[in-house]
Amino acid sequence: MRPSTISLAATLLRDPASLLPAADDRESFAHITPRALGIGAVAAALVGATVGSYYGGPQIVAAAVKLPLLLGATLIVALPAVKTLAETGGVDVPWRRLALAGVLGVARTALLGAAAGPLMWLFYSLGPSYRLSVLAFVAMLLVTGAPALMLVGKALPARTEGRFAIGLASAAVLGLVLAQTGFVLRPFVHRTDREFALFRPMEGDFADAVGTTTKSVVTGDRGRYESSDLYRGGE
Amino acid sequence: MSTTLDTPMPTAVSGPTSTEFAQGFIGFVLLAACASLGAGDVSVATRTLPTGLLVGGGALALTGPTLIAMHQFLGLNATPDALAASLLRGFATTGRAALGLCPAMLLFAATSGLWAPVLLLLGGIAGGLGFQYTFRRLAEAEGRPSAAFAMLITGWAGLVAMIALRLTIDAARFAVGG
Repeated sequence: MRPSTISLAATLLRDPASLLPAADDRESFAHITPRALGIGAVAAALVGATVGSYYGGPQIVAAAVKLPLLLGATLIVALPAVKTLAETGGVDVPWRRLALAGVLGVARTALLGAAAGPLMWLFYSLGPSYRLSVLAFVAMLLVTGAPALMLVGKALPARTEGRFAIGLASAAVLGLVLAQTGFVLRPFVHRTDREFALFRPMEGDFADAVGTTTKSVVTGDRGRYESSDLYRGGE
Repeated sequence: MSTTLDTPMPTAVSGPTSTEFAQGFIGFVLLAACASLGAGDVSVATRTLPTGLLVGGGALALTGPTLIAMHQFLGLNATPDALAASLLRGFATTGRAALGLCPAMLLFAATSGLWAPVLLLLGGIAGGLGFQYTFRRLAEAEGRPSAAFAMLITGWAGLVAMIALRLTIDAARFAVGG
């Protein structure tokens, strides 16, 4: 299995699970994995640049660098969990298969995100509020990331006992790790009324951010939102 | 004669290897150790270290003998050896699952104040899936599980859940020094 980069990108979008058997063959794995990583990195950088365009200037470059890091770091931290959780299903999923599924999932998420890029750019160009911009970014990640989570689930062999529960637990770990890693690497969507900052201080965690945003949206209390240390300088 | 033919054949279940058992043991300790790095207080961190093993090992030690005794009392198929091997495999597999969750735990301990709830969540995930695994090994040891076996396992599952909850509360109190 040695597809060209273009046909690999097409397969990633059409039927990524068909690429999983490449993990069983060292040469195919060595051919596909770096290409998929490259596709994922470039596409994620495009998505990051689009999101960074809300603030413009240096934030376009900063978000373009940070978004591939976010997806890659999530894989590195969460894949060991997926592997050992799969063992509770009585199967030993080889590292190569799991790594390939993760890389393909990330590349697919990034490609779908890049495809949605023009729409996101158009939305940001209309000058939406900061909160709405963050919500749009999160929604885009959720919509494009869900199929990737399913692909990691497909890496589990059909004979896995309790496959659904293991898939659900793995998705929960991946989601939590993605959320917290995103919080650490913030801001992606930068507040336009603040000075540029590559990273925000490490106060709080993503749960605080979700709580503050939810309170702000539900109560309409912008004072609470804007006075929060978490939001000085943007998310 | 028909009774002999109808009697389900129990399956031999082997216990974990010493390496698997050691990995499981380390997994319980290391998950709590990773979490303790987020405590920000040396005494709390030190007391958090044994909590994973206390809950996992404690639940097994307190409920395993009950399961084996009741199983024999009800005259079911599997031998005590096979049941013990299934329980030990479950313990080792749960600990190994916890070991894989350590990088995620470390991320939260290092970058957030969520070490305690995330430890509970990840411990719950490892424990839940580990219990599911143990149940399947027990069913395998039993051969063709009967209604009595299903009732026994259901009751045992409730007991494990309640004792694990009790131990978790005790472990949390111990960790925060209450």
